[in-house]
Amino acid sequence: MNDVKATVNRGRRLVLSQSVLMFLVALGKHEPTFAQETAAQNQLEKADKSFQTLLQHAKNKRHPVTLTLPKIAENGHVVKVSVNVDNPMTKDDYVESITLITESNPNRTAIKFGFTPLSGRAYAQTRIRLARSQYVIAAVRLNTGRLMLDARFVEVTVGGCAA
Amino acid sequence: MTRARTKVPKSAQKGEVVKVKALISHPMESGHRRDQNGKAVPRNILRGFECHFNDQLVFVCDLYPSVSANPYFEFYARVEQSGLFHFRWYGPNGVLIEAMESIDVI
Repeated sequence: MNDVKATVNRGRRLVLSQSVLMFLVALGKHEPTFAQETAAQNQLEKADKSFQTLLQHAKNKRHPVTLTLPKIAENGHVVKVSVNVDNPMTKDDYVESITLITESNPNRTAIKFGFTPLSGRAYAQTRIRLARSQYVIAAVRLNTGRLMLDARFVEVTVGGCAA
Repeated sequence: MTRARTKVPKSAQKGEVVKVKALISHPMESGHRRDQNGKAVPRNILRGFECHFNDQLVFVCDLYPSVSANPYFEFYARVEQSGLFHFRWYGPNGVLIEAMESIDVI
């Protein structure tokens, strides 16, 4: 008899805990959007801060990196961009990667190029989208781990909608 | 739908650094856009590009939604002997687009 009661109780407890769980899940669906939003906002602010730090470094230091972008881009959908790094491409000393980071595109990383000593020259050209007028940073990483930067401001006339 | 166009010089000197061009027709739909009825247009982007010369990696690229439609790349490669350039584009759901181009080293 006691056993039966115990199982019933356990069953009821189970149901109860399940309903609590469901309630929490339901809460999770609505309430945390605010929490999530603030988290996202915090993350954005953090990213903004790190971008500004990078930008300061790019402006202050003279690195052998040339980021070529038009001063005024009439069409934000197609912006021609090229990066050239004055660095020998030998086995012991070569450019490992170049990352283009945008200031205010929904996806900050626009593109990442990777090179090997076989590339012969650390140069790449492509076309990117720019949502609005903003800074673009080229972050260059050597195989030695050294980081080199260059930045350009681009005036965008017609934004590449939500790049 | 996705057509690749690639270009390398027909011939080169030994050890020469040659210019390589690669273009592919692809919408690179960012997933941020909405159509006329306000419905989100699903994301459809190529995620990667690779170029090998005689099976050795020369150039590699990670693509993000900020890359324009019909991605175009221009880069360089040092060629020591005649051989084959092998281009690969990686799309969503295991899509792989390939192209090849040969070069004679004199």
